[in-house]
Amino acid sequence: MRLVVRRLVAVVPTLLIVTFGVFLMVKLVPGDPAVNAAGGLSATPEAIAQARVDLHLDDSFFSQYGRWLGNAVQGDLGESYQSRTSVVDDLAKRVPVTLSLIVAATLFAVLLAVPLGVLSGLRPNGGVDQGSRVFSSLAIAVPNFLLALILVLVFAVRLGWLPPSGYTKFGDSPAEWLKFIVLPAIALGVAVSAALMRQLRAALVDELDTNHIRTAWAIGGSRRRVVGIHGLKNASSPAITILGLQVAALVGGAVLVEQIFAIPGLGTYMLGAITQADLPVIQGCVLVLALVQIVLSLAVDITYALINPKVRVAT
Amino acid sequence: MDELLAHHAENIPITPDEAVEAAAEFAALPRRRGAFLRLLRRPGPAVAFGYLVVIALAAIFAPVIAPYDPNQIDVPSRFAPPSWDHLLGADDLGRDLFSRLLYGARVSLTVSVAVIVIATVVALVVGLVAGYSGGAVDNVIMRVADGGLSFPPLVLALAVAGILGPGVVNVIAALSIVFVFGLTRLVRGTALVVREEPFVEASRAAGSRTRRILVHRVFPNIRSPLIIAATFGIAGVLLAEAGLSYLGLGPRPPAASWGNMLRNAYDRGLYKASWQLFVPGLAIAFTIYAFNVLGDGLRDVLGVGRSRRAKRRERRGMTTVERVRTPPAAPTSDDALLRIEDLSVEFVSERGASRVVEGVSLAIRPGETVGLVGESGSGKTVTSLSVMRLVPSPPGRIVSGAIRFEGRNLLDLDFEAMREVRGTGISMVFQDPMTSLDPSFTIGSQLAEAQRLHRKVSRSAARARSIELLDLVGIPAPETRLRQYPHQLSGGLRQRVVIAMALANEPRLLIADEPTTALDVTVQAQILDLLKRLQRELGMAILFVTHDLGVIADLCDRVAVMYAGQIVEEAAVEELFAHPRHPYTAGLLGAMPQVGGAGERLTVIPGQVPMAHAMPGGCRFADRCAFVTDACRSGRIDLVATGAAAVRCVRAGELTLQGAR
Ligand SMILES: Nc1ncnc2c1ncn2[C@@H]1O[C@H](COP(=O)(O)OP(=O)(O)O)[C@@H](O)[C@H]1O
Ligand code: SF4
Ligand SMILES: [Mg+2]
Repeated sequence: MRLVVRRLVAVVPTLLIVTFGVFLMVKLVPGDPAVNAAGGLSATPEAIAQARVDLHLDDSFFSQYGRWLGNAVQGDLGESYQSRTSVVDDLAKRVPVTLSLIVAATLFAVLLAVPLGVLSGLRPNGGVDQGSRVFSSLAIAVPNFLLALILVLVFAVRLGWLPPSGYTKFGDSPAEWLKFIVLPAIALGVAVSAALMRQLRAALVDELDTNHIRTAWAIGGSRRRVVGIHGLKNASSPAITILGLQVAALVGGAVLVEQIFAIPGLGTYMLGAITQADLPVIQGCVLVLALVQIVLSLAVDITYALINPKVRVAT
Repeated sequence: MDELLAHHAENIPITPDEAVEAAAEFAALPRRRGAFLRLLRRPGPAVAFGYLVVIALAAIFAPVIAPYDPNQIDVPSRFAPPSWDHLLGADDLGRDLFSRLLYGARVSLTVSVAVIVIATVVALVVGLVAGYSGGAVDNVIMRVADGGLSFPPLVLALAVAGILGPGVVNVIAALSIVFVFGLTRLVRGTALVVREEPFVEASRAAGSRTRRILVHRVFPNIRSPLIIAATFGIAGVLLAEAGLSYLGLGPRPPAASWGNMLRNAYDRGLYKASWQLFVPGLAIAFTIYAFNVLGDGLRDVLGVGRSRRAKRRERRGMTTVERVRTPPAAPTSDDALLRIEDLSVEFVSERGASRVVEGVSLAIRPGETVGLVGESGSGKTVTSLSVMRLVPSPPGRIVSGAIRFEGRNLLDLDFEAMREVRGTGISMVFQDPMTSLDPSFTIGSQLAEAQRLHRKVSRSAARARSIELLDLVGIPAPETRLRQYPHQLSGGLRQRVVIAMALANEPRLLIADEPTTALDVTVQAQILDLLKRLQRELGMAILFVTHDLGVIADLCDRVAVMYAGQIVEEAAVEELFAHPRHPYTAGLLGAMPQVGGAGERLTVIPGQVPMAHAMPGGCRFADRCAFVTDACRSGRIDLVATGAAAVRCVRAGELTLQGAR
């Protein structure tokens, strides 16, 4: 528990810098935000002046940041220039969608990587290992958006097994959700899976050469016990580290994959805002996506610590 | 670690600790000369490099090579399949795809190279300043880099490019920002490590100016890791650029880029001409792959991490037996518990097989304690592991002999049968208690496992027995210990736990391979006392392996002395100490600290054990023996038994050697 608190505290400075970065990003936009807020080029000078006051644009830079941060903490990220709806409300609707995609992709990655990684680690250079190596080379070379297109082409257009795009909430119909999420999850998860698998294989190969594995054999351990329990448990720590490093790729990749499959998550929201130069929305999306990454990395970190007695139990 | 490094290099944004670790590994390595030539001598990187040169040339000379204007619309040939007219076909507006691909390559390569150059230069300056100056400056820079790395890279790039608007320059700006954080970390991490190196400290102490140190000392050490990171980085930029231009943030249409060609093929041609996807698709995939292969190659030739191919062997927990000569026949009656006969073990490597144990024979009766002594490297551990069939295979294999335990030849058993012997018939305690226990499981669960592997025991019975065992090996407060993890115990306690595990099923034979060597002196004595007591109380036989004759005297009944893979002398312990018959034994006794003496070594045997692949033909001790004659080198010398003793020396009969003093 103390450990969890410690990690949480360590995140605070990062959060400050991230929020500052997000704030700064928009401040550096060429053009006058007051003009935009007042309705663009057709805005009257009075409206612009009013917007300047409303947006506190004449305050000092830091007091603007402070006000923005204060509002953000209270759940106010402003209104969309386009729809005039609250950015936070819109974000709240889309976060679960993006998260469900990321979770599905991670699940797919783990389900694929663990058996392949374990089998490759057990028989380095065996058939599974060779096959996995080809797979991971391909996974590295084929970007997720390209893979997404190919999946649509094969499974939606040619075979017609799955819908090419769209989304249903998990809460509405899990079966429908699954149908829509399978292809995006694969497109997003394959690269993660390859990294995970390689790490797991390497860790297992190293692990099986350790002294404590020799002890496990020496007391009469069965292959299942020695490899499957002792080997795998110790090999899982480095694999989890890799998963943590892959979070960034997952969150970023989700944006592209959502766009391709027309999934109404944060990614599509952000891309829409970019084409319309809807600054508060862009700002909100970047902030939330960064938060998603920070929280997910933190979760991986804590999981790592929890399964690793050396970190969990101090001497 | 290897894979972790690979991961770092491939995914530029790196988490803090790993970055420093990775940098440390990079920096610790010597710089290698002629790396580029060696790189090109490898087939994979050579092909990748060739491919990239072709792509680069095609991009540079696109205006000359391209058969069409890349933006020339020609409606009649829309969706034209590949032909001599349109090498790669035409798109929905009839634009020539080959020409567009060439111009797209210009965009991809310009962006990649520009971004990596900008990001690397900025990272070098900022990272070196941070790493070299340390303190508050470093702190601020690193916090900012942390913050930057907290943004998913693609999201940050999208936001920046989105705010700036489409266009090649804006993409370069956006991606440079994204890539600079990770590279800065890498440079700073390496600089930190290099800073602590003796030669840099020395230059600093000698009053060299900071700039000089940076340029002449630190930079050369950062070069290799940076080159590798930049190579993988280019692949990353390429990927990001394709993603951005897929989303319409690349060059403004109608200008071609691989990303927007892909988008166009998907949006317009998915149902009519899906093959179009593969024109830019394969170009992207091949190019990214080529940079990755080049990066892998660079990592290998620059000597970062061990080769990936280094450790490719299966671990099945069972030594292979491949006999080159027939095993000795089983004796008709045998009073021995364990009888090793003519055991030979080889390790196979690329340089051939080296036989590290040669024709070893040794018998242990029930309840007897036998010492196996010899310098480090003489084959004691391999001999003991052979009994457990635990010599790692490959590279190890048993090539001759028989190991009879209670009449059964262990070398004929399969895994399941051997598994039954391990832990119940024979147990083994290893040299290094710090690593002998599984760090992820509690002491209690490991002790319980030792029992459950061989018989059905209830949870509570196992627990009770575990407590009893810990008590037996002299661990106070056993209940508390059961809940603890190995890292919470001292080395001495861990070794007691390992011994407790070994005793869990009351084995008839305990093999203790230098159980005290890794411990400090007082703890050593305690463990030895423990073993003596256990032997008295439990009456099991012990094979006690050590390089230290001193501990043998009051523990063992008989001693076998091993040298260079062979047994050279065997005798009852008093006999061996009083009247050694092999010069090597005498040498060991002479090197022993005197009992009650100041503990200084009297004579140390000069010279070294011969290498396994270069064994002398005659007596293996000849090069170090004070009594050597021509006869010693002329041929194979057998172990000659006289009564209960045996010796392997041609002059054993004539020499009178000094015993223990
Ligand atoms: N796994 C291994 N691979 C290759 N050679 C090994 C291996 N284990 C031991 N050897 C070699 O076998 C020889 C005997 O080693 P060992 O039995 O450990 O000696 P001791 O226990 O007497 O110190 C040494 O030369 C050592 O280098
Ligand atoms: S055989 Fe010769 S060289 Fe070998 S130990 Fe005896 S005397 Fe020394
Ligand atoms: Mg040894």
